Amino acid sequence: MQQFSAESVLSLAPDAASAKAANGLTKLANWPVLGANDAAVWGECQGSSRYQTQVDLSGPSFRCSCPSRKFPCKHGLALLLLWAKNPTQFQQGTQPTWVSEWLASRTERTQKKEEKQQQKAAEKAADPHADATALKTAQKRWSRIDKGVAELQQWLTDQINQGLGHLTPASRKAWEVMAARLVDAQAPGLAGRLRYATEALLDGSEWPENVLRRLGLLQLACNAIQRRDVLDEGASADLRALLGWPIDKDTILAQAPPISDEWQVLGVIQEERDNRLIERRVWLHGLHTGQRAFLLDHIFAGRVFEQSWVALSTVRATLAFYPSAAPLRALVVRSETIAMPNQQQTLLPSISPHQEWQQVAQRVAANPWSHLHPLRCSDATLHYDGEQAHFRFHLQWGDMALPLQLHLNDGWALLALSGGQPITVQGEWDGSSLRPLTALSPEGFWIWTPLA
Amino acid sequence: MDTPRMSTAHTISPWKSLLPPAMVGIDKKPLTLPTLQGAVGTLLAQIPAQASTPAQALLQAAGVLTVCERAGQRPIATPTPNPYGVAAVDVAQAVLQDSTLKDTLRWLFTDAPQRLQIDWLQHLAMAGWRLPPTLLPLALDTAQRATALRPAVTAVLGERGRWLARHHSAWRYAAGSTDSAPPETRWQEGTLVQRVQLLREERQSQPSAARERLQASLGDVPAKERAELLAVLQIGISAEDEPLLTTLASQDRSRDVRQIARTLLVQLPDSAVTQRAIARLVPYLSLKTGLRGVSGQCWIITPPEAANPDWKNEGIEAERPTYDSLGERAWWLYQLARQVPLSWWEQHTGMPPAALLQWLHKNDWADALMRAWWEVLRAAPVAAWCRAFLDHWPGKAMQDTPAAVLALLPAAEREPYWQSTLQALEKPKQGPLEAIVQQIVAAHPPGQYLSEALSQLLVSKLPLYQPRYYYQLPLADLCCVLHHSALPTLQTLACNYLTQPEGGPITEGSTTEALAQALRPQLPLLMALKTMRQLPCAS
Repeated sequence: MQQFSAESVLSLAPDAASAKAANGLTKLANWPVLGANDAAVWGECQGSSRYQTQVDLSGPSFRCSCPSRKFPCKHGLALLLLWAKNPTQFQQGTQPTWVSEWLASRTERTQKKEEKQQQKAAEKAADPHADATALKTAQKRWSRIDKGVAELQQWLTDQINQGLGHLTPASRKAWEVMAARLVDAQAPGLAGRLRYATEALLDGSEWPENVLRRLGLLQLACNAIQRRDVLDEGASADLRALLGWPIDKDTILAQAPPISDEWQVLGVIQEERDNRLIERRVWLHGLHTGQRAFLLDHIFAGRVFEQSWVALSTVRATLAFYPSAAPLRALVVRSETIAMPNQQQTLLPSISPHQEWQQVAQRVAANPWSHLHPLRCSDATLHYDGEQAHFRFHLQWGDMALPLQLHLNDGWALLALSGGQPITVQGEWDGSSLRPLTALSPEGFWIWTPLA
Repeated sequence: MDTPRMSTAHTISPWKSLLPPAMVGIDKKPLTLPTLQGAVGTLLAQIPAQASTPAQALLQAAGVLTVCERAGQRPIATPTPNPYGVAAVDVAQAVLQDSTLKDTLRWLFTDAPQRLQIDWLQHLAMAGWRLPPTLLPLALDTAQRATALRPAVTAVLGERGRWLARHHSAWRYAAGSTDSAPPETRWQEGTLVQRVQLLREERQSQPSAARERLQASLGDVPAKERAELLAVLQIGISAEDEPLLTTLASQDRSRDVRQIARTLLVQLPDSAVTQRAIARLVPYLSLKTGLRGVSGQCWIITPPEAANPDWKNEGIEAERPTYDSLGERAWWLYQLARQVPLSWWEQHTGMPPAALLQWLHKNDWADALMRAWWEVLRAAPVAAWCRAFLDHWPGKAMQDTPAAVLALLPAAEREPYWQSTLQALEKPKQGPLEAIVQQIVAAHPPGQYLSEALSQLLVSKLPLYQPRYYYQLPLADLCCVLHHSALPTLQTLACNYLTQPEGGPITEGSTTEALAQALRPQLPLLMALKTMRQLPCAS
């Protein structure tokens, strides 16, 4: 049966508030019913009203009858925390109907999905006009995008002709109007990049450089769209990804041969976006292939991620990579957890800073718009720079000093874990700072949680 | 695009030539593209031919530079050593790795009552463990807010924790410098609490050195601090302290200090001050024969009729405070009596404490004398006198509760009193049980437990508590104080309630069910107590 530690459970929390609330619900008094078997754990949580909470351990996947829009909700986390702390309090045995029905519906859904895929493929094969229809839809979308991009090009030129020095806080509104027009032009990805540029506006002493950097990338996007007919397959795919052009999962699965490996989960991070959209990023490292992979999932508040990922666990999985000149983002074809983080860690071979940066450089060179990169810093030492420093902590790695995006408490925990000695820190590099998601030392490990 | 290589550590930023036209507008300030060596330079050089407007050229150059930066720029820095070096290797303690115990510790720091925190950490230290590194910040923060927790936390920090504490000013208390500082520094620079602590320690090992240290600095400290420091002399008090106490009793500027000195002098029956006090009291106590019983002798109290002008120098005030409940003569008597040791009463009257209590019970001057005796007893508890008070409770003459007297006895000697009260409990009742539980909890510092027999008795009587009010009982603290043999009963009770919410062996509405329900929230604590006793030894 799957064993969880409190740390690994808390790393599944969508935000600090949920983790805290879940901790508050781990009193047995709140749970008049607690049960478990090999497939699932379940319980009834008695608060102001009574909720039925269940976790499918194979995922782990959560479900709860509460109306919370957070996922997993505090009840699901609390249930798994209780399970981690004292499994003996769970009555072993047959699941109640509300659990078996859910488990059955999950199996059914998977089956249906597979059937649907097969059906779709068969239909596609049978329909002689399918390709023509698809081409027509694509042409229609391109013409809208072209219009939008022409507008963006004019707008960009105007900003530089007028000079960034004229911008005021009120300009943000005007920039948002442009971003909204890009959404209308079916280029939501470009809208996102423009909003990213707006964030830098008048922020910090180096804002002109930062804004110029982000506008420069948009300019490259405009150029690339004009030249799209001469781009190769990988670059075209990256361009479509930049535009936010959705890609059919079946297309991905059909396109490239999937890769099977045992993957170590380098890190998991979940963030709530302002429009009630929850984004989850999972970074993987293939133990045998050395391949890095990135899983990106979004759910609207209240919906359910199909699968949960526990940082530092090892998962046997088959991944299908999105088409790209520098493939990184992937889809999970099938997966199965084989080791949880509290078990003995398989120490990955240490990679030199040079090799690690080479990978980043190649990815950026192949896809200029690639934004976040997994970074695995072995033999790195953590330093505290004092309360006044902008980032407070940095990582000395080879001859480099990486600024760290860390909550103060996490920084202290990492410093304690290192004791001044070299450790391995794994996280996301955004081009200027590293956000640590996991760390390993001879004294133990650390996992990013929204708790901080 | 080739992988660009750039070293931006010491070259002039290419942004310098892009920013001015970008800021003021490209019409006002024409663009000069930066010239760079290598692949990046070649890319930049192609831009003017490709771009249709100067603005586009500028933006393209910015885009190219950004991508090349992202690919090739590294935050180069010369390595700087950590000012606190590397944490020393821990040879004395092993790091706790067990993930279940780690979870328990996390719960302990965030949710457990302080008494359990201290007890648990002491067990952890005794078993040779230190805290896992990721819990150190939580431990240091928790103990920063709760000073009582600090000794227990510092004992399990290990070298790693002390090293970490040096990085943050709020954790300096744990960095290992304050306690190891020489006594002279602690005395000169410490806070009042630290100075009192130092004086206590020194008084236990070298009483005269401690007294001399105190005497030397009495002139420099304010009255409030003088009073607190002087009270420490209670520890290991002896005839050697008499000269200092005598001086302070008559000459100190503060009334509180003078009073404390006198209270201490009472504990030196042979001191001149106390001998004078005895001599003052003797005339007001006389033996009358033939009045009562066959033995025919009885002690009579005749308090002074008027105040003696000499009293002023002896710390006795002639004027009765207006708010006081004692009459004028009683007021004088009380003041005279509180300067006399309890042992003198036994010697002078030939009566043991119990007899003295009985004698005073019927006396007209009971209020005054009882107040004096209680004051003397509280300053220097004597077990025989405490027992006498409890066995022959003076009733209204006593302004305090039996619990206050009981609190002066060592916990083991209190048990018979609790036991008899508990045994007398037969019907559901609220008051006495609650009082006993409060007393028991207050009587046991962390790490001290009730005897097995009394624990069992108490647990068997708990269902007699009026069911609806269980939340008023300090159940969490009680669980920590009970003998470990009594805990499984409570745990079974709480667990049964959990697994059998309806029906089952527990009948609905019974008092046991209410107790089980009240205990349910204490399950994590009961588990933690169990884990604590089963802590494995480090290697």
